[in-house]
Amino acid sequence: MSGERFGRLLAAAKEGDERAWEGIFSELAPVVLGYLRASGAPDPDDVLGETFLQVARDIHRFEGPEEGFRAWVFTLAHHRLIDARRRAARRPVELSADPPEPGERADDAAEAALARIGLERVQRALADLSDDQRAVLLLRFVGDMSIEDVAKAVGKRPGAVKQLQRRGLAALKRHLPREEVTR
Amino acid sequence: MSSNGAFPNEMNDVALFTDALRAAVPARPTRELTATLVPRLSATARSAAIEAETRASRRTQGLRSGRPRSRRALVVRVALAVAVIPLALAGLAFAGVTVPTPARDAFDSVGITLPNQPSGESNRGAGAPGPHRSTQGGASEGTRATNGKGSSTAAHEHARAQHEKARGKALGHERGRAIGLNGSTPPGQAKTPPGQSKAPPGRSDSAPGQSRTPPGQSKSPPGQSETPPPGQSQAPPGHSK
Repeated sequence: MSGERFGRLLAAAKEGDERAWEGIFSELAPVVLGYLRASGAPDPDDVLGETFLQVARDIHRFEGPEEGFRAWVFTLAHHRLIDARRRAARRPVELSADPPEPGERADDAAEAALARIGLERVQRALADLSDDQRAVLLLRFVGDMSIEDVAKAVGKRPGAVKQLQRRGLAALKRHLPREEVTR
Repeated sequence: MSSNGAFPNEMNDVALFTDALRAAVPARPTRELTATLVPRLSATARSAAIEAETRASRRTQGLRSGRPRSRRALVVRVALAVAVIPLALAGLAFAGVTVPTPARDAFDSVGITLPNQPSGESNRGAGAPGPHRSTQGGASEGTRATNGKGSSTAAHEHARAQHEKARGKALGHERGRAIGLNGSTPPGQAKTPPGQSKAPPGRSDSAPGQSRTPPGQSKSPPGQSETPPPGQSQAPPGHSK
Protein backbone atom coordinates (compact mmCIF):
# COMPACT_ATOMS: atom_id res chain seq x y z
CA MET A 1 0.00 0.00 0.00
CA SER A 2 1.42 3.39 -0.92
CA GLY A 3 2.02 5.95 1.76
CA GLU A 4 -0.56 8.32 0.36
CA ARG A 5 -3.20 5.63 0.13
CA PHE A 6 -2.48 4.50 3.63
CA GLY A 7 -2.76 8.11 4.86
CA ARG A 8 -6.22 8.44 3.29
CA LEU A 9 -7.27 5.09 4.70
CA LEU A 10 -6.09 6.05 8.17
CA ALA A 11 -7.86 9.41 8.07
CA ALA A 12 -11.10 7.74 6.96
CA ALA A 13 -10.77 5.08 9.64
CA LYS A 14 -10.30 7.79 12.25
CA GLU A 15 -13.59 9.30 11.13
CA GLY A 16 -15.25 5.90 11.51
CA ASP A 17 -15.64 5.09 7.83
CA GLU A 18 -16.77 1.48 7.50
CA ARG A 19 -15.05 0.86 4.17
CA ALA A 20 -11.75 2.01 5.58
CA TRP A 21 -12.17 -0.38 8.45
CA GLU A 22 -12.94 -3.17 6.05
CA GLY A 23 -9.68 -2.42 4.25
CA ILE A 24 -7.64 -2.33 7.43
CA PHE A 25 -9.26 -5.48 8.79
CA SER A 26 -8.83 -7.49 5.61
CA GLU A 27 -5.19 -6.40 5.40
CA LEU A 28 -4.13 -7.07 8.97
CA ALA A 29 -6.60 -9.50 10.53
CA PRO A 30 -5.20 -12.68 8.81
CA VAL A 31 -1.65 -12.10 10.00
CA VAL A 32 -2.73 -11.02 13.46
CA LEU A 33 -5.05 -13.98 13.78
CA GLY A 34 -2.25 -16.27 12.51
CA TYR A 35 0.08 -14.80 15.08
CA LEU A 36 -2.49 -15.33 17.84
CA ARG A 37 -3.19 -18.91 16.77
CA ALA A 38 0.49 -19.77 16.44
CA SER A 39 1.14 -18.23 19.85
CA GLY A 40 -1.46 -20.48 21.41
CA ALA A 41 -3.98 -17.80 22.33
CA PRO A 42 -6.82 -19.32 24.40
CA ASP A 43 -9.49 -17.99 22.05
CA PRO A 44 -7.79 -16.43 19.02
CA ASP A 45 -10.96 -14.99 17.47
CA ASP A 46 -11.90 -13.36 20.75
CA VAL A 47 -8.41 -11.89 21.23
CA LEU A 48 -8.46 -10.68 17.62
CA GLY A 49 -11.74 -8.85 18.31
CA GLU A 50 -10.34 -7.29 21.47
CA THR A 51 -7.22 -6.21 19.62
CA PHE A 52 -9.08 -4.50 16.81
CA LEU A 53 -11.53 -2.87 19.18
CA GLN A 54 -8.62 -1.30 21.00
CA VAL A 55 -7.20 -0.21 17.66
CA ALA A 56 -10.54 1.47 16.90
CA ARG A 57 -10.64 3.16 20.32
CA ASP A 58 -7.12 4.57 20.07
CA ILE A 59 -6.71 5.15 16.36
CA HIS A 60 -7.40 8.89 16.73
CA ARG A 61 -4.11 9.14 18.64
CA PHE A 62 -2.05 7.28 16.06
CA GLU A 63 0.20 9.20 13.69
CA GLY A 64 2.73 7.49 11.46
CA PRO A 65 3.45 5.38 8.40
CA GLU A 66 2.01 1.99 7.50
CA GLU A 67 4.91 0.06 9.02
CA GLY A 68 4.39 1.89 12.29
CA PHE A 69 0.68 1.13 12.18
CA ARG A 70 1.34 -2.54 11.57
CA ALA A 71 3.85 -2.67 14.43
CA TRP A 72 1.37 -0.86 16.69
CA VAL A 73 -1.41 -3.35 15.87
CA PHE A 74 0.91 -6.29 16.55
CA THR A 75 2.04 -4.73 19.81
CA LEU A 76 -1.60 -4.41 20.91
CA ALA A 77 -2.24 -7.99 19.82
CA HIS A 78 0.74 -9.17 21.85
CA HIS A 79 -0.52 -7.33 24.94
CA ARG A 80 -4.05 -8.68 24.53
CA LEU A 81 -2.56 -12.15 24.11
CA ILE A 82 -0.73 -11.82 27.42
CA ASP A 83 -3.97 -10.66 29.07
CA ALA A 84 -5.87 -13.60 27.61
CA ARG A 85 -3.21 -16.00 28.78
CA ARG A 86 -3.37 -14.57 32.27
CA ARG A 87 -7.13 -14.88 32.25
CA ALA A 88 -7.09 -18.46 31.08
CA ALA A 89 -4.13 -19.38 33.29
CA ARG A 90 -1.10 -20.91 31.78
CA ARG A 91 -1.69 -23.92 29.60
CA PRO A 92 0.56 -25.80 27.17
CA VAL A 93 0.71 -24.41 23.70
CA GLU A 94 -1.98 -26.06 21.71
CA LEU A 95 -2.30 -25.05 18.14
CA SER A 96 -5.80 -25.03 16.80
CA ALA A 97 -7.12 -28.38 15.74
CA ASP A 98 -8.82 -26.80 12.76
CA PRO A 99 -6.29 -26.12 10.08
CA PRO A 100 -6.37 -22.38 9.47
CA GLU A 101 -7.34 -21.12 6.09
CA PRO A 102 -4.22 -19.76 4.48
CA GLY A 103 -4.11 -16.01 4.32
CA GLU A 104 -3.93 -13.93 1.22
CA ARG A 105 -0.47 -12.57 1.97
CA ALA A 106 1.43 -15.78 1.31
CA ASP A 107 3.38 -15.29 -1.88
CA ASP A 108 4.59 -18.00 -4.22
CA ALA A 109 7.97 -18.38 -2.51
CA ALA A 110 6.33 -18.77 0.87
CA GLU A 111 3.83 -21.26 -0.50
CA ALA A 112 6.63 -23.24 -2.08
CA ALA A 113 8.61 -23.24 1.16
CA LEU A 114 5.59 -24.38 3.10
CA ALA A 115 4.93 -27.12 0.56
CA ARG A 116 8.48 -28.37 0.99
CA ILE A 117 8.54 -28.28 4.79
CA GLY A 118 4.94 -29.13 5.47
CA LEU A 119 2.45 -27.30 7.61
CA GLU A 120 2.41 -29.93 10.33
CA ARG A 121 6.15 -29.74 10.81
CA VAL A 122 6.07 -25.96 11.03
CA GLN A 123 3.33 -26.12 13.63
CA ARG A 124 5.21 -28.71 15.65
CA ALA A 125 8.43 -26.71 15.50
CA LEU A 126 6.62 -23.60 16.70
CA ALA A 127 4.97 -25.47 19.54
CA ASP A 128 8.36 -26.59 20.85
CA LEU A 129 9.71 -23.06 21.15
CA SER A 130 9.57 -21.09 24.36
CA ASP A 131 6.90 -18.38 24.58
CA ASP A 132 9.44 -15.60 24.17
CA GLN A 133 11.22 -17.25 21.23
CA ARG A 134 7.91 -17.92 19.49
CA ALA A 135 6.69 -14.37 20.04
CA VAL A 136 9.92 -12.89 18.71
CA LEU A 137 10.02 -15.15 15.61
CA LEU A 138 6.36 -14.58 14.79
CA LEU A 139 6.53 -10.83 15.27
CA ARG A 140 9.73 -10.63 13.23
CA PHE A 141 8.71 -12.88 10.31
CA VAL A 142 4.94 -12.79 10.30
CA GLY A 143 4.43 -9.27 11.63
CA ASP A 144 7.37 -7.95 9.56
CA MET A 145 8.49 -5.93 12.52
CA SER A 146 11.99 -4.59 13.11
CA ILE A 147 14.10 -5.74 16.04
CA GLU A 148 13.44 -2.41 17.79
CA ASP A 149 9.67 -2.66 17.33
CA VAL A 150 9.65 -6.24 18.57
CA ALA A 151 11.72 -5.18 21.57
CA LYS A 152 9.14 -2.50 22.39
CA ALA A 153 6.25 -4.92 21.94
CA VAL A 154 7.66 -7.64 24.16
CA GLY A 155 9.23 -5.24 26.62
CA LYS A 156 12.83 -6.38 26.15
CA ARG A 157 16.05 -4.82 24.96
CA PRO A 158 16.97 -5.19 21.26
CA GLY A 159 20.00 -7.29 22.22
CA ALA A 160 17.78 -9.72 24.11
CA VAL A 161 15.42 -9.91 21.13
CA LYS A 162 18.32 -10.73 18.79
CA GLN A 163 19.42 -13.46 21.16
CA LEU A 164 15.90 -14.92 21.35
CA GLN A 165 15.63 -14.86 17.58
CA ARG A 166 18.98 -16.64 17.16
CA ARG A 167 18.10 -19.32 19.68
CA GLY A 168 14.61 -19.71 18.25
CA LEU A 169 15.94 -20.26 14.74
CA ALA A 170 18.49 -22.73 16.03
CA ALA A 171 15.71 -24.66 17.75
CA LEU A 172 13.63 -24.65 14.57
CA LYS A 173 16.51 -26.05 12.60
CA ARG A 174 16.62 -29.04 14.88
CA HIS A 175 13.10 -29.83 13.71
CA LEU A 176 14.07 -29.53 10.09
CA PRO A 177 16.56 -32.17 9.08
CA ARG A 178 18.93 -30.79 6.53
CA GLU A 179 18.27 -33.46 3.96
CA GLU A 180 14.58 -32.53 3.97
CA VAL A 181 15.11 -28.83 3.85
CA THR A 182 17.86 -28.64 1.31
CA ARG A 183 16.47 -31.34 -0.83
CA MET B 1 30.22 -17.52 6.12
CA SER B 2 27.78 -14.64 6.27
CA SER B 3 28.18 -11.46 8.31
CA ASN B 4 26.09 -12.83 11.17
CA GLY B 5 28.20 -15.96 11.46
CA ALA B 6 25.86 -18.37 9.68
CA PHE B 7 26.90 -20.68 6.88
CA PRO B 8 25.14 -20.25 3.51
CA ASN B 9 23.31 -23.52 3.97
CA GLU B 10 22.11 -22.39 7.39
CA MET B 11 20.95 -19.09 5.93
CA ASN B 12 19.01 -20.99 3.29
CA ASP B 13 17.38 -23.09 5.97
CA VAL B 14 16.36 -19.98 7.91
CA ALA B 15 15.05 -18.21 4.86
CA LEU B 16 13.10 -21.27 3.81
CA PHE B 17 11.62 -21.71 7.22
CA THR B 18 10.63 -18.06 7.61
CA ASP B 19 8.99 -18.23 4.20
CA ALA B 20 7.09 -21.31 5.29
CA LEU B 21 6.12 -19.52 8.46
CA ARG B 22 4.67 -16.61 6.48
CA ALA B 23 2.58 -19.03 4.50
CA ALA B 24 1.58 -21.25 7.38
CA VAL B 25 0.65 -18.73 10.03
CA PRO B 26 -1.80 -16.28 8.45
CA ALA B 27 -5.38 -17.41 8.95
CA ARG B 28 -8.37 -15.69 7.47
CA PRO B 29 -10.98 -14.79 10.08
CA THR B 30 -14.40 -16.28 9.62
CA ARG B 31 -16.97 -14.33 7.62
CA GLU B 32 -19.23 -14.05 10.66
CA LEU B 33 -16.47 -12.46 12.66
CA THR B 34 -15.68 -10.01 9.89
CA ALA B 35 -19.35 -9.17 9.38
CA THR B 36 -19.94 -8.42 13.05
CA LEU B 37 -16.62 -6.85 13.91
CA VAL B 38 -16.13 -4.33 11.09
CA PRO B 39 -19.31 -2.26 11.80
CA ARG B 40 -18.44 -2.33 15.48
CA LEU B 41 -14.96 -1.08 14.73
CA SER B 42 -16.19 1.85 12.68
CA ALA B 43 -18.78 2.76 15.32
CA THR B 44 -16.16 2.57 18.07
CA ALA B 45 -13.75 4.72 16.10
CA ARG B 46 -16.49 7.30 15.46
CA SER B 47 -17.51 7.52 19.09
CA ALA B 48 -13.88 7.64 20.20
CA ALA B 49 -13.24 10.53 17.83
CA ILE B 50 -16.31 12.40 19.10
CA GLU B 51 -15.30 11.73 22.68
CA ALA B 52 -11.77 12.97 22.02
CA GLU B 53 -13.13 16.16 20.44
CA THR B 54 -15.49 16.73 23.36
CA ARG B 55 -12.70 16.15 25.82
CA ALA B 56 -10.44 18.57 23.97
CA SER B 57 -13.12 21.28 23.86
CA ARG B 58 -13.95 20.69 27.51
CA ARG B 59 -10.28 21.08 28.34
CA THR B 60 -10.07 24.40 26.51
CA GLN B 61 -13.28 25.55 28.21
CA GLY B 62 -11.83 24.48 31.52
CA LEU B 63 -8.72 26.50 30.80
CA ARG B 64 -10.84 29.54 29.99
CA SER B 65 -12.99 29.31 33.07
CA GLY B 66 -10.01 28.23 35.13
CA ARG B 67 -8.66 31.73 35.63
CA PRO B 68 -11.53 33.23 37.64
CA ARG B 69 -11.83 30.04 39.60
CA SER B 70 -8.18 30.19 40.52
CA ARG B 71 -8.50 33.90 41.41
CA ARG B 72 -11.42 33.10 43.67
CA ALA B 73 -9.42 30.35 45.24
CA LEU B 74 -6.57 32.80 45.81
CA VAL B 75 -8.91 35.26 47.55
CA VAL B 76 -10.28 32.49 49.72
CA ARG B 77 -6.78 31.37 50.59
CA VAL B 78 -5.74 34.91 51.56
CA ALA B 79 -8.91 35.35 53.63
CA LEU B 80 -8.20 32.12 55.45
CA ALA B 81 -4.63 33.19 56.14
CA VAL B 82 -5.87 36.52 57.53
CA ALA B 83 -8.47 34.79 59.69
CA VAL B 84 -5.84 32.50 61.13
CA ILE B 85 -3.88 35.42 62.69
CA PRO B 86 -6.55 36.54 65.22
CA LEU B 87 -7.38 32.94 65.92
CA ALA B 88 -3.75 32.26 66.71
CA LEU B 89 -3.58 35.32 68.96
CA ALA B 90 -6.75 34.26 70.76
CA GLY B 91 -5.30 30.80 71.17
CA LEU B 92 -2.14 32.25 72.69
CA ALA B 93 -4.23 34.35 75.06
CA PHE B 94 -6.21 31.32 76.15
CA ALA B 95 -2.94 29.54 76.74
CA GLY B 96 -1.90 32.30 79.12
CA VAL B 97 0.49 34.24 76.93
CA THR B 98 0.39 38.02 77.26
CA VAL B 99 -0.61 39.29 73.87
CA PRO B 100 0.98 42.56 72.63
CA THR B 101 -1.04 45.68 73.34
CA PRO B 102 -1.90 46.56 69.71
CA ALA B 103 -3.36 43.12 69.22
CA ARG B 104 -5.30 43.41 72.46
CA ASP B 105 -6.55 46.85 71.43
CA ALA B 106 -7.73 45.40 68.14
CA PHE B 107 -9.70 42.75 70.00
CA ASP B 108 -11.08 45.39 72.39
CA SER B 109 -12.24 47.47 69.46
CA VAL B 110 -14.52 44.69 68.28
CA GLY B 111 -15.73 44.02 71.82
CA ILE B 112 -13.71 40.91 72.57
CA THR B 113 -11.78 40.77 75.81
CA LEU B 114 -8.95 38.34 75.71
CA PRO B 115 -8.57 36.14 78.76
CA ASN B 116 -5.46 35.83 80.92
CA GLN B 117 -4.30 39.35 80.13
CA PRO B 118 -3.10 41.96 82.65
CA SER B 119 -5.81 44.57 83.19
CA GLY B 120 -5.85 48.32 83.85
CA GLU B 121 -2.92 50.69 83.45
CA SER B 122 -0.37 47.91 83.90
CA ASN B 123 -2.10 46.32 80.97
CA ARG B 124 -0.97 49.20 78.84
CA GLY B 125 2.69 48.62 79.47
CA ALA B 126 2.45 44.88 79.29
CA GLY B 127 3.27 44.71 75.67
CA ALA B 128 6.35 46.88 75.96
CA PRO B 129 9.69 45.25 76.46
CA GLY B 130 10.79 44.92 80.08
CA PRO B 131 13.65 47.36 80.62
CA HIS B 132 11.81 50.34 79.18
CA ARG B 133 8.67 49.72 81.13
CA SER B 134 10.00 51.00 84.46
CA THR B 135 12.31 53.71 83.19
CA GLN B 136 10.16 55.34 80.56
CA GLY B 137 8.23 57.31 83.14
CA GLY B 138 5.56 59.86 82.52
CA ALA B 139 6.72 61.07 79.16
CA SER B 140 6.10 57.78 77.48
CA GLU B 141 2.84 57.40 79.33
CA GLY B 142 1.79 60.76 78.02
CA THR B 143 2.81 59.90 74.52
CA ARG B 144 0.85 56.70 74.68
CA ALA B 145 -2.14 58.60 75.99
CA THR B 146 -1.83 61.02 73.13
CA ASN B 147 -1.46 58.29 70.60
CA GLY B 148 -4.22 56.25 72.15
CA LYS B 149 -7.59 55.63 70.72
CA GLY B 150 -9.45 58.18 72.90
CA SER B 151 -6.96 61.04 72.38
CA SER B 152 -8.90 63.43 74.50
CA THR B 153 -7.82 66.79 75.87
CA ALA B 154 -7.59 65.29 79.33
CA ALA B 155 -5.12 62.75 78.14
CA HIS B 156 -3.14 65.45 76.46
CA GLU B 157 -3.07 67.53 79.62
CA HIS B 158 -2.03 64.53 81.60
CA ALA B 159 0.80 63.91 79.21
CA ARG B 160 1.93 67.51 79.46
CA ALA B 161 1.85 67.38 83.26
CA GLN B 162 3.91 64.23 83.23
CA HIS B 163 6.35 65.87 80.90
CA GLU B 164 6.73 68.87 83.16
CA LYS B 165 7.20 66.62 86.14
CA ALA B 166 9.87 64.77 84.32
CA ARG B 167 11.71 67.96 83.52
CA GLY B 168 11.62 69.05 87.17
CA LYS B 169 13.04 65.74 88.19
CA ALA B 170 15.86 66.10 85.80
CA LEU B 171 16.79 69.49 87.20
CA GLY B 172 16.83 68.19 90.74
CA HIS B 173 18.83 65.26 89.62
CA GLU B 174 21.43 67.50 88.09
CA ARG B 175 21.62 69.57 91.16
CA GLY B 176 22.04 66.60 93.37
CA ARG B 177 24.85 65.36 91.25
CA ALA B 178 26.45 68.73 91.19
CA ILE B 179 26.74 68.86 94.92
CA GLY B 180 27.98 65.35 95.06
CA LEU B 181 24.94 63.94 96.84
CA ASN B 182 23.95 61.67 94.03
CA GLY B 183 26.81 59.33 93.68
CA SER B 184 25.78 57.57 90.53
CA THR B 185 29.33 57.39 89.38
CA PRO B 186 31.84 56.02 91.79
CA PRO B 187 34.57 58.40 92.84
CA GLY B 188 37.44 58.47 90.42
CA GLN B 189 35.31 57.05 87.54
CA ALA B 190 34.22 59.98 85.51
CA LYS B 191 31.75 59.25 82.74
CA THR B 192 33.73 61.29 80.35
CA PRO B 193 37.44 60.79 80.05
CA PRO B 194 39.62 63.46 81.60
CA GLY B 195 40.00 66.46 79.39
CA GLN B 196 36.82 65.64 77.41
CA SER B 197 34.32 67.79 79.06
CA LYS B 198 30.81 67.89 77.62
CA ALA B 199 30.78 71.65 77.79
CA PRO B 200 33.49 73.61 76.17
CA PRO B 201 36.07 75.11 78.50
CA GLY B 202 34.80 78.23 80.19
CA ARG B 203 31.16 77.19 79.73
CA SER B 204 30.63 75.14 82.73
CA ASP B 205 27.11 75.00 84.17
CA SER B 206 28.54 76.12 87.39
CA ALA B 207 30.82 78.68 86.00
CA PRO B 208 32.21 81.00 88.59
CA GLY B 209 29.98 83.98 88.99
CA GLN B 210 27.11 82.49 86.93
CA SER B 211 24.49 81.26 89.21
CA ARG B 212 21.36 79.61 87.74
CA THR B 213 19.03 81.43 89.99
CA PRO B 214 19.14 85.10 89.56
CA PRO B 215 20.43 87.02 92.47
CA GLY B 216 17.81 87.38 95.15
CA GLN B 217 15.60 84.60 93.77
CA SER B 218 16.49 81.65 95.78
CA LYS B 219 14.39 78.50 95.23
CA SER B 220 14.93 77.24 98.69
CA PRO B 221 13.18 78.88 101.56
CA PRO B 222 15.12 81.36 103.60
CA GLY B 223 17.57 79.72 105.88
CA GLN B 224 17.66 76.55 103.74
CA SER B 225 20.00 77.56 101.10
CA GLU B 226 20.92 74.96 98.52
CA THR B 227 24.30 76.47 98.19
CA PRO B 228 26.91 74.53 100.02
CA PRO B 229 28.44 75.94 103.11
CA PRO B 230 31.42 78.15 102.62
CA GLY B 231 34.41 76.17 101.50
CA GLN B 232 32.28 73.58 99.61
CA SER B 233 31.90 74.69 96.08
CA GLN B 234 29.14 73.02 93.92
CA ALA B 235 31.54 71.59 91.51
CA PRO B 236 34.73 70.13 92.78
CA PRO B 237 37.81 71.72 91.33
CA GLY B 238 38.56 70.29 87.98
CA HIS B 239 35.09 68.60 87.74
CA SER B 240 33.22 70.64 85.30
CA LYS B 241 29.98 69.17 84.13
